[in-house]
Amino acid sequence: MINAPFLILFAGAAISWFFPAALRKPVLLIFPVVGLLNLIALDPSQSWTVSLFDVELTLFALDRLSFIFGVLFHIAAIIGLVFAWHVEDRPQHLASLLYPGSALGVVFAGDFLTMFVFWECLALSSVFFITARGTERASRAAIRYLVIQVVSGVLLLTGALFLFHDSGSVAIRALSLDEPAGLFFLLAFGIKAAFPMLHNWLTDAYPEATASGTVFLSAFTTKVAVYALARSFAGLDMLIYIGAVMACFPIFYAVIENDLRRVLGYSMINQIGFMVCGIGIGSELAINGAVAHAFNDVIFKGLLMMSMGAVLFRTGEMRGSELGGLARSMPRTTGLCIVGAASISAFPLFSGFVSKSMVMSALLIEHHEWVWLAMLFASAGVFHHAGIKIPYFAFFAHDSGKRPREAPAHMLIAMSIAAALCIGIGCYPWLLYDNLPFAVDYRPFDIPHVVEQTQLLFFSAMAFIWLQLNGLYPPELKSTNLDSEWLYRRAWPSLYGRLCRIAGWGQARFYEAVGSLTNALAPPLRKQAFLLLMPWSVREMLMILMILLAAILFLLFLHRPL
Amino acid sequence: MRDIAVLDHLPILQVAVPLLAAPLCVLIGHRGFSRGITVLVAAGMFLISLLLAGQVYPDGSLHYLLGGWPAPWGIEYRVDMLTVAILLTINLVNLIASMFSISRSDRKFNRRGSTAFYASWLLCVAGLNGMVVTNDAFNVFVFLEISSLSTYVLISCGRDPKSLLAAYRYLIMGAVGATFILLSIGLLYMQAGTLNITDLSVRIADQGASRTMIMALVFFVVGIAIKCGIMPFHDWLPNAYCYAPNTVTALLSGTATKVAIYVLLRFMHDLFSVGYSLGEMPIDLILLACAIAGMLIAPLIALRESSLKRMFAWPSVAQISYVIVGVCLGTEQGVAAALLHVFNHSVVKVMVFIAVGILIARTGTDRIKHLGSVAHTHRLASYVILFGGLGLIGIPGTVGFVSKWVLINAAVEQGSWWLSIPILLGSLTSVSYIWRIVEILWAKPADLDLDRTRSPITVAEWLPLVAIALVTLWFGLNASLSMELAALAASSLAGG
Repeated sequence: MINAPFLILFAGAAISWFFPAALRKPVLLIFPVVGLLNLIALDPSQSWTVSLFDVELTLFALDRLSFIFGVLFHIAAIIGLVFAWHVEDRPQHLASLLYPGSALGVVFAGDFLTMFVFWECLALSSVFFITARGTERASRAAIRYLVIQVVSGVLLLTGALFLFHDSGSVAIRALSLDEPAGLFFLLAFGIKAAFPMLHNWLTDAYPEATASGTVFLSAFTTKVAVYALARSFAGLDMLIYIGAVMACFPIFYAVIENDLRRVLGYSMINQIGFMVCGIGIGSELAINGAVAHAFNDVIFKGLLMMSMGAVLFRTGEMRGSELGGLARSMPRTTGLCIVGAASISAFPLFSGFVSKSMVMSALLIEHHEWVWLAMLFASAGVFHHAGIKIPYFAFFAHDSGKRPREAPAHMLIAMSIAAALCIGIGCYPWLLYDNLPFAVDYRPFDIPHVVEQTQLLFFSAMAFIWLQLNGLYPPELKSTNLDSEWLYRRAWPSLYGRLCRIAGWGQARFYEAVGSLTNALAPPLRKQAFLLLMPWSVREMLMILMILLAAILFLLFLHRPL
Repeated sequence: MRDIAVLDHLPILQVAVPLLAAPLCVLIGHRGFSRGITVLVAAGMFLISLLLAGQVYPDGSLHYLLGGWPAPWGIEYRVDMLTVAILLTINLVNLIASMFSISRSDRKFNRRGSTAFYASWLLCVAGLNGMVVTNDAFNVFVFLEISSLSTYVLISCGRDPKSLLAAYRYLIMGAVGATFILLSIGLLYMQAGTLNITDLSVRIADQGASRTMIMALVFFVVGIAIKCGIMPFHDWLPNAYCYAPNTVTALLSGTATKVAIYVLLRFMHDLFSVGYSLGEMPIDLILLACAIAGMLIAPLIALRESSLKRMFAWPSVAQISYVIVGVCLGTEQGVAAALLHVFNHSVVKVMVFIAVGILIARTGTDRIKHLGSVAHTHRLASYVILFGGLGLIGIPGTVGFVSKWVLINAAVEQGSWWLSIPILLGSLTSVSYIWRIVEILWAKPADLDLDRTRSPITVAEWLPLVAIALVTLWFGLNASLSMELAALAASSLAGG
């Protein structure tokens, strides 16, 4: 199977290695284009299996669900490559094919072991986009990112081994939480999908990547996880509530966050919340909605990330408090950003509307009214922080005095492609609907949907304006907001240090106490090291021996009184 | 019938040959002769083990009555698949280590008289073999003392004066352990009135539980735990391994603790019966707690060690913990996994310590920080250390992987799947200290004048090293033989 999608991109990465930087860019771009054409032409019955020892591995299998993700990833790779035309360094060039290639590998994998291999490739190839930033901050964030991603892969492998032990097969199938493997898989997917409390790698690493790197990062990793969830956990009730939490909690962070790309990171978690919720409902409409929303999210989130990337590229600044008034010198970028903002806010005739409303309708059909309300709140919140805040603080608001040049042509082209897709799918959704996993019998543009969404948007806009006019809106401050990552970046290290000190203190006091009680029995006071790390004297060894002997005897008599 | 067929007397020969060769060494008093006879005896003993294996394979058992006295009164030697499995392991190790012992690597230890050294060596081996073949509880103690006393002598032959202190520490702990075991045997004798292990198990089962039994069990477990080097009872072990002559370290690491494990298995499973020691009494919980502590803490300590030999002593503590987990599972698969790990760890450890010995003899130091870049001049030894290290971690394709895999399977099978967590965690932490060694041996700038340490490697060095490395490689890649033997041995134990 020479024409497996991931092979084409991997081959592209290998071939482009031999080209000088100037020639490498067009060469790089050829491969995803060829790959996309190849994928459309592929016969759905094809598959590629190999046998490794007694395990049957399916390296490539195609169905409607994987097809739509495959198309999406190719498009995202093409847009990303065009946007990154200015990039010259080889690691980023290779990563820009290896990373989408790994994502395609996951999507078309027919078994969990193959999935695991590409899952780890995904982590390893993507980290170059963060390290390429070259700052100390970025490389630290990259290490944290890599550790978490690899842990996700290890959990996936553990799940696969459990599955193999139980059933002798690792083929991808629907899983339940009743089997031990299910929990490992859910955690593995959950880390990549940025479930609440597992999400910190995203808001930590994405804002640290290069201008073009974030565009790539935002497209693949989380969507691969959404795909995996849709494959294996469709209809798992728990996901509805996880999705609702994911959609709601990032709003608060996004509103007070200053780094605009981190705002987009939070808004990404919020959007994934809609998808996870749809997967949790599990009906055909909901799954279609989740998949369609994943598709649209990649495009419009990519568009927003690109517009922010262009700002970063021109000004070197990403803090909302330092930006503003850029619309005068970057009018085209501003316009394209607003298209993205309208799409993510789900304005009718923009792409977000046609997919998000599917999930919302599915919620009502399946009678999850409370969750529906929460999602409504989340929709309003999206409009606030992504729809208004991003373009407003970057391009309007108070004038920062910055007058950068308009974004370079290749960036404008990439953004225009994405904007065209946003509007195209928004106006003519059947382009997308016809390729969804299940047959679509859904009309997005009927009166209730349009009215409901327009009302929602209208009143959120009113709220924003009112808050802004009265000075109640949280101002853009150069501050650091605490998220649950605080637990492992600050609290745990400091707690651990404190525990060590307390333990050392306690040990010293203990020895002092024992030593003063009976000099003959006490092991000598040792402050310098942990008890086990130093050789014990013969007396100590015998003491320990006697204590243990007595303890065991006591335990046994306690266990069995005679 | 007066005609004596040698093949009928193999069980006693296994012990008698080294026992008689030991005084011969001293009487003749010739250094070359001592060396020659030690290797010859080792080869002979390995041959005897093989012949014994042929006699009991696949599931027979031999009962050899000393002096023809019937079993409960006279002393009985018993050989079944479990005995054979351990005999093969320790005699293979002894053969390899004794070949290495005549090399120049360890010339310096025998300035105090190599005849006495080799006599102790032979006595130690005789004692170890005796513990394995005998079916008499008191005899176990006697052989334990023979092997222990000669081991103290062997350790004290080290180059460093600290070896005397290490031997003394081991002597105290070993003597206490042996005393506990003796107390346990005495209590059992008091209770049941017999010393034959088979007979004891029957009578104990008839009499039911009592305080005496509990005391006997506890004294036995604590005593043997010292001998095995299980975590909180382990502290004699690192210094003993570190300061002993290199060949002695190789011998001890592959035999002494392994025989203690055998005695533990025999007593817990046969004498006290699994139902009592692991079922009614929570011995398995106590030992499991120790084992988990051992497999998690020992690698961390190894990471901090500054001496190469001491560093490789800690994995012994860790690996014994894996064996103990297998023993404590109480199932046939558990015991099989434990036995497989005993064998696999023995061969890896002998290999590593021989390689370490060669390296130390050439560079004259065992401080890790002084060993930068020596891998480039001492390739064979360094690569063998790396190979052994991978085995200790349990990389797929090495012996360590095979037995850990079997062990995890046994744990899952028995329902204690959570045990796989510390097992995997322990293996993961092992990566750190092996990696540290690799980094220093290959990448760190040279500290010594490497050209001065260069000297050709002799036959007595590379022959045992390559031989054991090939054995290790073979059983890592194709474990069917070792797994079959372990399974048979385990079933012979469970079958009584």
